[in-house]
Parts: sequence; structure tokens; C-alpha cells
Amino acid sequence: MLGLGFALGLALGFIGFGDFTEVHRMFTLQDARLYLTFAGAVGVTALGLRLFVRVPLESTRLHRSVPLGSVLFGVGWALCGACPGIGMVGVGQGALPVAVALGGMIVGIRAFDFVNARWLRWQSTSCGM
Amino acid sequence: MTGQYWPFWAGALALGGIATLHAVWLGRPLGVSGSLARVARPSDPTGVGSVWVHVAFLCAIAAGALAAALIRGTFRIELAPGPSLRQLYGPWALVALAAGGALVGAGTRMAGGCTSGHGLSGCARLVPSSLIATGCFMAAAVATSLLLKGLAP
Repeated sequence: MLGLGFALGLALGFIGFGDFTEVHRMFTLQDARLYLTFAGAVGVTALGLRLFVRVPLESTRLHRSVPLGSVLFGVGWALCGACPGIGMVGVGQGALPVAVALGGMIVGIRAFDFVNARWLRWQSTSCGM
Repeated sequence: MTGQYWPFWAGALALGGIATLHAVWLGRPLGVSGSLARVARPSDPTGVGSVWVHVAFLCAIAAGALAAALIRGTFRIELAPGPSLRQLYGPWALVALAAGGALVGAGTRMAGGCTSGHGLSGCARLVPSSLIATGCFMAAAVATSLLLKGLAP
């Protein structure tokens, strides 16, 4: 698991996913490289899972929380240039202000849990954990 | 800028290989927001796995990025937001980082995944909720960034 995390950070660093300028250029449609990288990675993963993974993997159920949460996530990613993985990459590259975005993420996770536990009561299942 | 980074096919092979190995070795799909959510709620009894395993996984990502920056010769400790952030936000860059981060945290928690979980692991298996999630966060990110670019001085 640690080796995979290290490889993920290494690959994201060489790809330039941790570079706010590159990410902003992707999202303002000035550069297709990161889109191609991402689409290609989906293709390679699809092939890899089909060839090597026999057990069924956990999936997120379809619920209105999925599109709603994803729109919030997309707006946030565009604002700060970091998704959870890229935030770790940014800090690793020495861009310490990105730690502010990571702190914001932890606050956001806890804030959603607070609101969800009291009012929404959505049964959200994570795709990863 | 682009020339310094890997071409798209190299990045695609690396990320796809890592996501595949993660599923093969650990029996569950790669998903970074799941680890971050576990770390954000250390005392949650419903959490999967030890908190420290996820802390270590997140630190390993940072260590990998550090190695990449050292190899590329671009490692530099930056205490202030970089030029593109300052150009977009002026003195409000740290506020934008914090607010954007909070939206990322709440949004990925609500949606049950982020770029790696929904975007990579989910889309690769054509999971309907992941396809919808990826369409939504990409579209929202593009719309927001175009708006930001239009508003920037």
C-alpha cells in the first residue's frame, strides 16, 4: 500500500497534476494533455481490472448526493487546484500553502458529516473505503 | 511548460497500472478521498482500517511527489502561494485555497469519492454513479475555471 502511494505521488508529480498552472490550463480548456492522460488512465485501468481482478469491487450507490457532492467538489477543485491526492502531491513538492487546502478539506469532511448526521441522514457509501 | 512533464500516454500507463495493482493487491478500488476522510475522523467506529495506515498512505503520496520534484530538479519550499494563484486571487489566494479545500472535502464526502475513486476506479468499471460523478465534477470545474479566468484582472 505504501509503495502504491509512493508510486502514485511520483507519477502525479511527473505528470504535472500537482502544478496549479497545468491544472488551471486544463480546466480553462487551453491544454488537452491532462484530459488525455486521465482518459487514457481510465482505459488502462478498465483493461487491467478486466484482465487481473476477479472479485467484484465495491461501488457507490446512485443517490442524489453523488451529482450534488461532485458539483461542489468540482467548484472547489477549480478554486484551489487540489483534489485530495493532488493536495498531498502539492505539499510533497514543497508548495506549503497547499496544506491550507488540505486543512480546508478536513474541515469540509467534518462539516458535511455534522450536517448529514443531524439533518440530511443520507446513507453515503464511499467508493474507496 | 508541458514539455517538462510526461506525455499523456506515459501518465495514462502509470496511473492505470497503479489503480489496477491497488485493486489486485488490496481487493478494493484506489480512492484517496476515502483515506483522507478516514484521517479526518480518527475516532469514527465505522471507519475502515487503522487511521495510521491511511496517514501513512497519504504521506507516501507526498513522499512520491517529493521524489519526483527532486528528480525533475523543481523542488523548492514555497511559503507563499505561487504566481498563478496570486494572479487569479491577488491577496485572497490563501482564502481561495481554504474555501476551495472545504468544498472539495464536503463534496467528495457527500459524493463518496473523488478523482481517483469515482474518476479512475469507478469510470473504468462503468459504474453509473461514478460516470455521473465524473461528468459533474469535470463540468463544474471547467465552468468555475472559465468564470475565474473571465473575472481575473
